[in-house]
Amino acid sequence: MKYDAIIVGAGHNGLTAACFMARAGLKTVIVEKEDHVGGAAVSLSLTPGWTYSNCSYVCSLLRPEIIRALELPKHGLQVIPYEGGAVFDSKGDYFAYMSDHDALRRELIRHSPRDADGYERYSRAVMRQCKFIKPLLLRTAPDPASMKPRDICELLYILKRFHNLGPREMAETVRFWTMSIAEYLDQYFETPMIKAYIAGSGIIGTGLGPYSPGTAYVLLHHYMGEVDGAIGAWGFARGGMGSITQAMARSFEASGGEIRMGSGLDHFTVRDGKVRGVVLENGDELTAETVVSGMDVRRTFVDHTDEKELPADFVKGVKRYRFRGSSGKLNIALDGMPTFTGAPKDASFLRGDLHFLDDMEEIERAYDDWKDGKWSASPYVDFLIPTQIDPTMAPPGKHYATIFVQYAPYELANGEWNDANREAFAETVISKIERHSRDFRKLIVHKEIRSPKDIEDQVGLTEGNIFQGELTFDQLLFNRPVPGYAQYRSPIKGLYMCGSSTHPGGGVMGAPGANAAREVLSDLGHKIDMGFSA
Amino acid sequence: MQATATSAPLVHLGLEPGPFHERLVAHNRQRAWMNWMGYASPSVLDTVEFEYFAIRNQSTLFDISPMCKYAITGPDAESVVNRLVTRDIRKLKPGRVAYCIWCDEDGQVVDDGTVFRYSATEFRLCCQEPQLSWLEDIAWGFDVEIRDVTREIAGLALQGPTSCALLKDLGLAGIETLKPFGIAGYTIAGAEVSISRTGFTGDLGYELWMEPADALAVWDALTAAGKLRGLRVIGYEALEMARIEAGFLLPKVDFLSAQTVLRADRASTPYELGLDWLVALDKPHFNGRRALLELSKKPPRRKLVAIEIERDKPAHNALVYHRKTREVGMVTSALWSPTCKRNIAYAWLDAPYGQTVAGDLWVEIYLQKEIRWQRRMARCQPVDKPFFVHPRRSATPPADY
Amino acid sequence: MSPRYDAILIGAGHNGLVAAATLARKGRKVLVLEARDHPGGMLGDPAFRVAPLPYALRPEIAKALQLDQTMLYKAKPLDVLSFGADGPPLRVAGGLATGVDIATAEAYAALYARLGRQAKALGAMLLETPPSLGKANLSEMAGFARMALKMRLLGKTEMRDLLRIILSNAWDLLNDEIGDGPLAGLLALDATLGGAMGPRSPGTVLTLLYRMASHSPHGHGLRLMPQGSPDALVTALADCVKAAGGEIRTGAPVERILVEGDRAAGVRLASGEEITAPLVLSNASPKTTLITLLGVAHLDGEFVRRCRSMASKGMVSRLDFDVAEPPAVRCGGALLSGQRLVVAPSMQAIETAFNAAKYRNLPDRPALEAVYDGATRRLSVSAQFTPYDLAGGWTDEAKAKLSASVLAVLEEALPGIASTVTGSRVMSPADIEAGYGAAGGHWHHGELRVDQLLMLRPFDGAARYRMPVAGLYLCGAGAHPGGDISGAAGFNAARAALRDGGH
Repeated sequence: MKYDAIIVGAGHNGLTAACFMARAGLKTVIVEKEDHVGGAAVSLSLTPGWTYSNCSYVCSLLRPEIIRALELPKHGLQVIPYEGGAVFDSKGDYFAYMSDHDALRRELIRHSPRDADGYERYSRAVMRQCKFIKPLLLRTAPDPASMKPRDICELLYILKRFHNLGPREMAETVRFWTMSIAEYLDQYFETPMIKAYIAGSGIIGTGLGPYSPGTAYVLLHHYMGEVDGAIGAWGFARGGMGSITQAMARSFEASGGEIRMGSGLDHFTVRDGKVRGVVLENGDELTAETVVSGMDVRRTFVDHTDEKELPADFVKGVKRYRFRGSSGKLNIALDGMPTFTGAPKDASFLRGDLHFLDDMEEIERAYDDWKDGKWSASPYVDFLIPTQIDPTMAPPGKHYATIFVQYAPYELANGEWNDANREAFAETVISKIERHSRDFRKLIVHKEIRSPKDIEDQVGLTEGNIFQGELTFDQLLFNRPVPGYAQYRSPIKGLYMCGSSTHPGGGVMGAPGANAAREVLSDLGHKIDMGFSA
Repeated sequence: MQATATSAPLVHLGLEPGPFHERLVAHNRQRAWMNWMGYASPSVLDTVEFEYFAIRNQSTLFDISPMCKYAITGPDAESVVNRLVTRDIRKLKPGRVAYCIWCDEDGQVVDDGTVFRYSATEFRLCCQEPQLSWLEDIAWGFDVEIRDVTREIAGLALQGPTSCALLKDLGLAGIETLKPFGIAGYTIAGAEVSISRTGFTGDLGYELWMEPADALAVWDALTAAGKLRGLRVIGYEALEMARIEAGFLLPKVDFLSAQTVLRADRASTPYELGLDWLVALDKPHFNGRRALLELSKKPPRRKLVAIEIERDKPAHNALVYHRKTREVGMVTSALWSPTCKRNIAYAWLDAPYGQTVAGDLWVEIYLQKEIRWQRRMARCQPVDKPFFVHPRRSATPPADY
Repeated sequence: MSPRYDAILIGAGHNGLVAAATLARKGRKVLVLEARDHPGGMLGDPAFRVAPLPYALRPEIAKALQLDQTMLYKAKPLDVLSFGADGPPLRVAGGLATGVDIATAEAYAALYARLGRQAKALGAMLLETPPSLGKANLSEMAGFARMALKMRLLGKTEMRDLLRIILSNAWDLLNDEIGDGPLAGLLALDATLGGAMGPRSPGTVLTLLYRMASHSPHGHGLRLMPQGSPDALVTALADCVKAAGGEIRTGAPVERILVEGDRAAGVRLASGEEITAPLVLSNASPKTTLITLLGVAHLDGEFVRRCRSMASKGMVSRLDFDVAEPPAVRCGGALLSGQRLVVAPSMQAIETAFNAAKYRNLPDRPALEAVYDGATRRLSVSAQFTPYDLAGGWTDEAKAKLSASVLAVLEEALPGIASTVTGSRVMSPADIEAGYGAAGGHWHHGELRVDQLLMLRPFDGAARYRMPVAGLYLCGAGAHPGGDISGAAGFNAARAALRDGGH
C-alpha cells in the first residue's frame, strides 16, 4: 500500500502529528501494535464495571491550541478540573490544597502565616516562569551550533524574550532552571509538609531526588499546563485518559486518516539514505516517503532501523540517551470510598491528589533507595480517586484509585520483576496508604500492578520512563533527544520523530507531535496552517 | 505505625465574619457583601448615594477590621520602620500617624499604609496586603519583634462632619483637641479604645481601634449616640466615591504592588504615582534608596495624574488619547463627584503627557443608552489633587457639624 | 584629613594579596589587614593548612605580577595515586593513567583532552568581569562574545557536546566515557571536592570543567606544588605587595567596614583603631563581608535575603596525621613526599558518602584526598562530605569519630599507617568558618553552581565585584569566577576597582 505519510504508534503524539498531517491533505496511516489506540493515554477495563486510566492519569499539559485545532471536544473530549489535593503526615495532620484562594490562605495560615505570604510570592514566581516557557513549547528548538538563518533567528527570539524579562527575572529564570526543588522551596516556605506537597511535582517521572539540582525545572514541566486558562490546574479527562486519544483518533478519521491496529512495526525500510516505508511484523509492507515515529529515539533507531544507515555519532548519542524509569503504577478497583485518618468528613480536597509524607527528606530517602536498585521503602505516591468526580469509571458507589508510585527501579538490584516482587512492591504501597486509610485494604476488589519493567513491556515506554526519557538539561531543548537532531528530523531523509523523546518532552502534551507535523509539512512545501500561531 | 491524632478541622469556605458582623448583618438591608481579605464586608447596606452623602453631611461608620495590621516593637523598631518606609520616620513623634509607602530594591512601590507610633519603641503598620514576610526580610538582623495583629484589633472608621460632635456626646473629653494624624486613648462603653484622627474620606473623621471582644459594645454606644448626629452605617461603594474625591490611591485599582505583578513593567515608582513628597532621600539607608536616587534624577516614564473631564459621564475604564488619535494612557478610577460637581478621574499617562504636555487630551467614554452603545470623546485636563478639600478636615477644634 | 591609604584589603588570602599587588603596582597605596598572624589565608598556616594542595595560579596573573615562574610552574605536576577497592593504586598524571586496561586509558586520555579544550573555551570568562544582567553594554559583552567564539571554534561536534554536558552530572558523563572505578572516582572527586553535590547531582560536570580550566604548561586541572611548598607561593605574593609599596599588617582583625554618605570610608579594627581609605576590598566571604562587617542596615531587604540564602555549606574537613615513618602504599612501595593520594574507589562510593551528608550525618567512609610531606612527616587529608551543619554539632566526639573513620579508610590504602600515627588534628568546616572568614566553612565561599556563577556570583545584585555601598568590593572566592587557588577573583576585583577610579 502506498501512502503520503506513515505514523508509527497511535500514542497521543503520533495521533496529534497524524491529525495535523491528514488535515493538510496527506494520505496518512497510523500503524499501531496494540488493538487499541492511546499508547500511554488509555482507558482499559481489566475487571467488569471498572475503567482504569492505566498509565497517565491526569490532564493539564495537553496544549489548548491542539485541543482546539483538532476539535477534540467535538470528538468527545471533556476535561474536568479537580478540586484540590492534600498531603497527610505521620502525626495525623494534613495540609490541604484548595482552589478557593481564601480557603487556601486560611489553611496555609493554620500551618504558618509566613507560608501564607510565601505562597503568594511563590505562585507568582512560578507563574512568571510559566509565561516565559509557554510560547517555547510549540516552537522547534534552535540548534545553537548551526549557522542557518532560521536557527539564528530562533535563538535570537529566545534571547530577546529572555532579555525582555528584565534583570531580576532573568536571574530568577537561570536559578529556576538549574536549582533543586528543595532549595527553591526553602526560599518561600518553612512548613515541611507544605514543601513536601509541592516538591512532588519536581520529581514525578524523573530519576532525581528533590535535593538534586535541576528539579525546579521539572516542577515547571508539571505546572506549565492549564485547564481553561487556569495555569497550573489539573483535571480528569472524563472516561479516563483514553478519551483524549480516542477523541484524537476520531478527529484523525474524520480528516480521512486510517488507523491499522494490531500492526506492530518490524523495521523501517531505508534506501540511499531515504526512508521508503515500513515493514510490519506480519510481513505487510507499506510505502511512503514520509514516516514519522512516535516511538522513543532508542526504539526507533536501535530496535527498528538498520544501524549502518546511521552516522556513528548519532548512534552513540541515541544509545547514550537516558531513560531510567523511576516510577510504577497501581490501579485499584475499590468496593467503596475509603476514609482517611485525620481528614474531616466530605473534605473537598479528597477529590484531588493525595500524598502521604512528612517532609522532603522522606522523598530524598525514597530516591536513595532507588539509586541502590530497590523500590522505596517509603515511596512517594500520587493517589487520586477520580470516580468521586467522574461517574463513568466505576459502578455507582464503587470507586477507582489511581496510584502513581515513585521510586521504583527498572532493574532490581536483587532479582527481577517477577510476580512475587510485584506483589511485594504493591504491598509496600498499600501498607503505606493503610497507615492513613484503615479501610483501604479491605475495599480492594481488583488491582493492576505495573513496575517500570511492566510499563516498558506493556506500553512501550523504554525502561518505564513516563516521559520517554529523562527531563534533565542534557536532554532538553536543543539537546533532546540528540544534539544536532533536535528538530524532529533524523539522519535518514523522510524519517521523523514525534514522540516525547523530542522537545519539549513528556506528559500528555501533544506538543512534540504538533511540532513534528509542522516540520514535516514545511519540508513537503505545504503552506502551514496549524490552526494556531506558534 | 498508624497515623492517629485527631483530625484537624477543615478550614471553612466562604467569607469570614468579622468582629462587627452581627451588627452589619442587621444593617445590611441590601444583603450585598464583598470579599475584603476573606472577610464579609458590606458593599452597599441601603443606597449608595445616601451613604455617600452621609460621609459629606453627617457621619458614617465603616468596618475596617480586615485591614492588615502589624505590631513592630523593640529597641530597633524605629530603625526598622525607617528602613522600611521612604519617609523619615524619626520625625514622627509618639502619638502620631503618618501615611507612608514602601519600595522594593528597584524603587518600585510595594504597598502603602499608615504607620502609628505609640512610643519610642512601639509602632503599628496598617495596610491592605499581607506584608509579614516582607517585614521580616526588612527586619532581619535587627532587635525587633514583628507580630501580625490583624485579628487582635477591630477597627471602625467614623467619618463625617458630625463625627467629632458625636464622640463628644459620648463624653470623650478633649477629643476636639486631637489634631489630624494624632492618636489618643479613650474609654467608650467601658472599653478601651484608641482613636486616631485619620481616614480615607478627606473629611473630618476618626478611626477607632479596640479589642474584638469590645467591638459590639463600642458599636452600640456609637450608634446610640449617633441617633442625634445622623450616623449612618455605610458600605465600600460609598467610601470608594469619597476616596476618589479625597485624592487617595487604591492598590490593585490605581497601582499594583511590585510584589504582585507578573510583568516587571507593571510596577510603579513613587515618582510615577506623584508621591515624591513621601520620599526622603536624605535620611539614612532605606529599602530602595539607591534605586530611588537614580529614578529621582530623570522624569518618570509615565505618571498617574488626576484629571477633570468635560460633561457628566464618568470615564470608567476609558483610554486616553492625545489629539483624539494617539493612545497615551488609561483611566483607573473615575467618578462624577456629587459634592464637587465635577467629572473626575485618575489616569496613567505615558511621558510626556500629563507632565510637559497637558493640552489636547481626550478620554474615550462608552455610553449605553437603552442597550445601544455610543462612543464619545470627551476633553480632559490634568488637575491638582485632591478634588475635595474642606477646612473642617483639619480644623482643630472642629466645629460641631 | 586626607586618608593615608588609597585602598584597604580585608584579609591576606591569596586573592587579597593578588588584589593588593595589582592595586599597588598601579601606584595605589595599599594596606592589607589580616586577622591571623600570617598572610596566605587558607594556604597560609604552615602548622595546619586548610588548602595543602594549591591549584595553579592563573599564568596570566603570575605574569602580570611578575612572579617567579620557575618556582610556580617548573615544578613537576603531582603524581596521583587513586585507590580502588583492592589491588595496587592507579597512577594518574594529567591525561595519562596507568594501572587500567588500555581501552580505558585511551578513553580517559581522549576525555581528558576534550574536557581540557572545552574548559579552555569556558575559561575565556575567568578573567573577565561578568556583564551586568539585562543592561550590559557592548564592552561588557566582549568577554561573553569571546567565550561564544571559542566555543564555536571547538567545532560543531564538541560545541554541541559541551552544551549537552554542561549542566549535566559527572556520573553520567564518566559512566558513558570511562565506566565507574577508581579512575572515575578520581575525576568525580575533582568534580565534587569542596562542594555539596554528589557525582549524580546535575551540575557536577561544570565543577569538573571549572577545575579543568586551571591550566599550566603541564596540562589542565592540576594541583601544583610550588617549589618550596605553598609557603613559597604566599611569600612570593606578599613580597610582590611589599615591593610595590604595599603594607601587610597581620594580627589585625577587622571588626567593621566604615561607611560615610553611602560610601566605604575605611575600617575599624577589633582593637578600636580606625583606618580610613576610599576603597575597601574584602577577601572575606560575601556573607561575612556584607552581614558581619558591613551590616545589613546599609543593604536592601531583598539583597540581604539573597545573601543569606546563598548556598555555602562547607563539606570538607581537614585532618593532619603525624606519622613516625613514611606510609607504605598498598601493594608496593612507600608513599613519596608530594604525591597526591585519592581514596574514592568509585563514583558510587562518593555518592554513598554524599548520601549521609545530605541528612547532616558523617559518612562511614568519607572520600579522601591526601598529600604526604616527607620533611614534616605529615599526612594532610581532606575528607569530603563532612557537613558544616552536622547533626549534633561538631563536638570533640564527632571529630574523634571522623578521625577514626578517616584512619580506617586510610589503613586500607596505606596498610599499617594507623599504628605509626603519633599525633593528629581535625579541622571541621565550622572551624574553617571561625578561622578564615568563610561563612559555612566553604572552600569556595559558596557553591560553584550555575545559579551562583558569572553574573549570579555570589548572588544576583552582588556580582561584578562592586557592592551596593560605593567603594566596597568583593575580591574573594565568593566573587566571580570562584574558588580554588587561581587568584582570578582578586585580580578581576582590583581591575574593576581601578577602572571605576573615581577617588
